[in-house]
Amino acid sequence: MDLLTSIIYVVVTFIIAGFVALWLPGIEKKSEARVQQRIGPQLTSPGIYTTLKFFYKKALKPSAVMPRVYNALPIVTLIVVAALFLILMPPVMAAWGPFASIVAVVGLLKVEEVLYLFMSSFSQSLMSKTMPFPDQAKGGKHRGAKQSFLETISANRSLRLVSFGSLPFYIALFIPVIMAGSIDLIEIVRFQQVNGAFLFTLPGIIGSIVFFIGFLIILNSNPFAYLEGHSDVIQGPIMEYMSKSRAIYTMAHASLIFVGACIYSTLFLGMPPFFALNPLNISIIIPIICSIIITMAIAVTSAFAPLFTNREFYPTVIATSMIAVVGVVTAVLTTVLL
Amino acid sequence: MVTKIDGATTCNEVERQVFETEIDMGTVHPAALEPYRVRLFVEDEIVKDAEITVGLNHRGIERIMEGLPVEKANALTEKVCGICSNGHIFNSCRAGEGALGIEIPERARYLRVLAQELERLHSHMLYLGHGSEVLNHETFAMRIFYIRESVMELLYMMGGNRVQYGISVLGGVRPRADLNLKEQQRILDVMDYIDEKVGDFAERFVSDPMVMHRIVGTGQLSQKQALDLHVTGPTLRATGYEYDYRTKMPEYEGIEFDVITQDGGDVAANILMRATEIFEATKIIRQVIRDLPKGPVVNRDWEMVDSPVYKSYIEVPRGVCYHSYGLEDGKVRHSIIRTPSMSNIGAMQESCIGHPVQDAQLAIVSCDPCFTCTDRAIQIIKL
Repeated sequence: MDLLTSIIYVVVTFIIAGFVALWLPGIEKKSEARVQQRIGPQLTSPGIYTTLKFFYKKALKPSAVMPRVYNALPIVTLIVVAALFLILMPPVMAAWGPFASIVAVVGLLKVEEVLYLFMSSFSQSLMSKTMPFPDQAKGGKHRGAKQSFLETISANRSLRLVSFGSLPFYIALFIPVIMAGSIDLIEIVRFQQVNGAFLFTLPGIIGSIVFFIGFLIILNSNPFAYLEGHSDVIQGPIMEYMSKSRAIYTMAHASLIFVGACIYSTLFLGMPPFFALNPLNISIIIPIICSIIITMAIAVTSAFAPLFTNREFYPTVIATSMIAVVGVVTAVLTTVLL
Repeated sequence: MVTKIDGATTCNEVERQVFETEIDMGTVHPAALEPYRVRLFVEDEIVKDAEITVGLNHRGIERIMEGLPVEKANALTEKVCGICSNGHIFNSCRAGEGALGIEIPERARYLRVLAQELERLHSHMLYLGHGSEVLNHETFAMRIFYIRESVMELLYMMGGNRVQYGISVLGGVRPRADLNLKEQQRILDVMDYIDEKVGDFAERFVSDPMVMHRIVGTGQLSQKQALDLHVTGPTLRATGYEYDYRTKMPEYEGIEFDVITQDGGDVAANILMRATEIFEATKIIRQVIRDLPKGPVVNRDWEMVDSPVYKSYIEVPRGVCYHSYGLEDGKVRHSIIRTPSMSNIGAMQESCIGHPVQDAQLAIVSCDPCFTCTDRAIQIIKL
């Protein structure tokens, strides 16, 4: 495959990925609604129409410490997700060699998480403002207490997520590495194409379960909606985003769901996302199916779970990390014994 | 004692200013359905103190009632609340009837109890739905709202409206609220449906380990605290104190029901309290339909006279509701309304303390607040 063809195929894969990703929020909402025995929104509404609608909304200056940087963060998020998707494509894997490795995947995902920390730190939403009248007039007993923005708490939580919340997810990513004996994505894919997908092995099954739970944490999806819980007093880092910034954030979030599914299909099924003009090459189909299944699983989990607080969150993360460690040990034993 | 710093006079106040961080929830906040201001004083996400301010939605209904003809004033009380609207007009009519010495027909007495219990059913189910929503368990919320819808239709059938039914009038109930045999049968059918569906719901709720872990021990209020703060209704009974004003109401004479209590005083106890009361309400409704006497539903044989202030208490879904007014030339004077949520605000404040900031809204919601009808006080004093 010459360079130009490779570039064209990569661009086409990007377009397909963007198109699929925008349908995923609709699939999620529709699946959740069906579980709740209601009709739910149109499939196109939460992803495609919402994005289009936000693009045409009037932008106001956000209430943030550094409004320009704060507004730029969603596009940075989108770029990080796009970079993540780029290294998952076989021609890029082959061309970039060691850079397209599991370390790059982990690094980019960490950058993605850190961006939420920045968003939380910069945001100062209207919901955080105190009422204008003096407390004395209403008989308030605490006068002159230090005011704090809700997002300050959200930023602290982001830090906890970066530190250890997503730990099980990253441990699960190393199960394929151990089984393939290489950190290079291309080697992991080749190994599975020769020896069969890791999903159908014991470490693969354990890894898949942990991957799913960890992915829910990374996505901030219910029950781990730690940063943007609807019923929580915390409204999360995205509170002040509007118009184009909001649209880009919606796209970035939808893309992250799709890219997560692509990471899974690459690492556990050996099927990276790539489109080529060859009827026998169906490797773009598998990540798409994976993304739909994962989205529906997220919706079902969300429909049947309450919001976790610290009390539930920490034990869940610890338990999931321990399961992930068991998966790693099983992977080591499988590799050594077989 | 230390030097005054910004109005502080005691050591404790000065210390508080140093460590406290204030988180404001409201006046308008997505997690709260009604406009009220919650100030949470937190330290490392643990609420050290809480302060709820109401008065942001004050409509001055008592003031508007002053000087209105008693019938109009009674009708206006229904607008106090969108959830226990029947309770307010019932109590207001009761106050008027007491002041004027009006005897109400036996059938009207039963129909009033029926409407009151239907309202309790829909209010308790609304509570369960709202609680599930605050837990972020949308599925439970949706399912209980489906079940609640059947009660709303019964109220619509009886009163012609879904929120303001206008069932009680001075001397009895409106003739429109009288029930024929077909309508009575429909109510009985719906009661069977509710018993079955709410039973299923409650079973699923308590057998969900994630939900139970979230609510057991959260927003706990001791019985002593509840009594100190004059807490009323299911919130008081959830702390194990057996007090239901229905046992003292002549309208409920001859009707058998149990006063439900729970021991925990936490969110779980509050939820179970109301879920169990739903079955008691359906039991009462069945008895009312079974024993519904024949005869007129309104007594119009009375005369308007002047009277001093007459007080009336009833048990509405959230606790004891108070109405009082006197009459001069057929006009209402010195009207006072006190809703049960007014007494429960203290409980809402206390139950937040010591819990993470995430649980604050859940603790408040567990006390079943209704700020629309409560907006009458400025400061809560712990006795």
